[in-house]
Amino acid sequence: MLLQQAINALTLGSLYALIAIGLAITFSILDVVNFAQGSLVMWGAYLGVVFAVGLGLGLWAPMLGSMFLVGLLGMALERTALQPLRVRNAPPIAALLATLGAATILDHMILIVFGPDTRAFPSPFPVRMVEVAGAQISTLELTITGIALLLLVGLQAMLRRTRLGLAMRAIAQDGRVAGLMGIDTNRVVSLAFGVGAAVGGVGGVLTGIYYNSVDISMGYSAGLKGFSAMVIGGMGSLPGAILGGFLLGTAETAATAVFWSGYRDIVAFSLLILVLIVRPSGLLGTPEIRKV
Amino acid sequence: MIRERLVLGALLAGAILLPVVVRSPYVLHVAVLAGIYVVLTLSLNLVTGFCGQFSLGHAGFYGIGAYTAALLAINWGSPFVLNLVAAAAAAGAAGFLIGLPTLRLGGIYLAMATLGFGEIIHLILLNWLAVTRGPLGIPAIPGPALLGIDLATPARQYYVVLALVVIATVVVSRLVDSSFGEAIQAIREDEVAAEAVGVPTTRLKVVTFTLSAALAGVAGAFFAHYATFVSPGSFTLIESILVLSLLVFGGMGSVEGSIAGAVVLTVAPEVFRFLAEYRMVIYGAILLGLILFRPQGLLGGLSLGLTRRPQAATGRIPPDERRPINPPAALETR
Repeated sequence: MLLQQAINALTLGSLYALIAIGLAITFSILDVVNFAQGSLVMWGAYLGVVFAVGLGLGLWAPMLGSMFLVGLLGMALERTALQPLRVRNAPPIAALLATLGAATILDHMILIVFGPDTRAFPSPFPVRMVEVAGAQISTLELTITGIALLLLVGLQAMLRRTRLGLAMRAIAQDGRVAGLMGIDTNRVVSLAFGVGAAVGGVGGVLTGIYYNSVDISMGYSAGLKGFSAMVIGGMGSLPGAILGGFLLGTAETAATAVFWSGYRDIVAFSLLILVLIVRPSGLLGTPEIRKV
Repeated sequence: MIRERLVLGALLAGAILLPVVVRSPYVLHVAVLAGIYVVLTLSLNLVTGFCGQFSLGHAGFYGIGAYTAALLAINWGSPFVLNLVAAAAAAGAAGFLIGLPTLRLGGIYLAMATLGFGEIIHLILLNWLAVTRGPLGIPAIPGPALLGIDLATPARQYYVVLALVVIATVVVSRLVDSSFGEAIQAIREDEVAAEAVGVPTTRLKVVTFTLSAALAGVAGAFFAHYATFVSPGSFTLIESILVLSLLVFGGMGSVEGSIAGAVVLTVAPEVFRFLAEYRMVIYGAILLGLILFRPQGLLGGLSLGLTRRPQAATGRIPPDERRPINPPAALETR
């Protein structure tokens, strides 16, 4: 029973971690909280439905397709909505509002194309139950967790081992100096935004498979959970986003098990506020120093 | 100055004469909605536009006001005016309690904290079945009435909301022009500098937040009596974001802008109803376009003399050097 709950928490947590890490990449590099992340997650999920259910392409092709297309969408969003603000040196709040505007557009495009009805997203592979130490665990949960973990490890490797990752880390530390060192900051920022969006897109596909359906409000809830996870872990910290995601998944699973599902979200947001009040920089973030 | 007064007087006269000229209940309904949003936008402007503290939880205070009025009216049959006051008190108290621990946080952290609180208020409304009836909402709330006079006709409701708008406008613009207003605008411009010259920043931020929440509560109470039905779905983050976009559209830190922004953006979707599903896409595009091409808001520097301060100097998002919130090592993988 406990193991079963632990697996539930792990699965939920890895979904949240994927969404949060996309937000964290964007935040660490641009200082922008991307309010369109939830919408990008939803785009990923709907594209997944089109590829997997509409075209019957199995699991991997829809996932990669969604990842690629949502990544492109994220880059387009960054180019049109955020780059002009960066050039003008607008304050971070303006960028946040720009992503809100973009989110409204993206959400309603989905509504126009797919309508308000919930769409089924049956698992693209046969789901079996595996017995591990007395607990019934579905291959669906294992696959979702596995893919998420794989992606998180791959992302860390990309940031640590590749030149692009190095450039991203340099910009996160100091964008202007990175530019002076010969890094094409606009291109790298755009790519980073694309990577964040792509990760969110995969998160969307996996979320859709996990709940067996996609609907027009999933972006909203996915975005909120992603924000909470990112803030809990520490804004802009990638390990923090992962930790925050798993903590949130665990807290929600525990809340559902102990109370009832109505309390799930209250626990999630209470955790968010508790962390903000006690330690605003999050569990793994660097404390903010206020300077004149 | 005189021209400003004339324009202001003409606008007010036009607003007063509207139900005489137009008898369509539909037009008056849209006008009442616009009025509610003007009060909400003014309330958000106080804390975000003038004090520079970003709130994404305003729908929560709006909801507390609406439910306070609804529950008082349904359970104890208390009168409309008393409910407005009670709603202001309840929402203000919530604002105070939420503001106290969170207003130490700046910028985006405060935005996330208020977002969290707004969602929690929504979830409490949704899950506290014994009191709020959860998703079923509270129906059959009596319409507004004053001293035994029934105010529930379209024209009378319009006048009630117009009175609320005028009161809110006067209160907010007087507040902004007072020394208190100067102090909170100093906080917006540079909090550290304000503190250095002796402005009690945290206390003033909490006071501003409380006042703003109370004003949103009044809007909620009127909404409850006007719609005669409240349900948790009206008080989500989406509503907070809507009010925020009205504020940005009109121009942060401008009282005239809040009124114009709320009226234009409430009426516009009705006018563009023929665009059906595309109108929200256009709504988003307008918001995005405005931030990109006109960050000072719709009216920009235009002022009708509601506040003393030249709007051009304060009516836009203050320029701020790009200061990383999480300086070095933000993306360190170790």
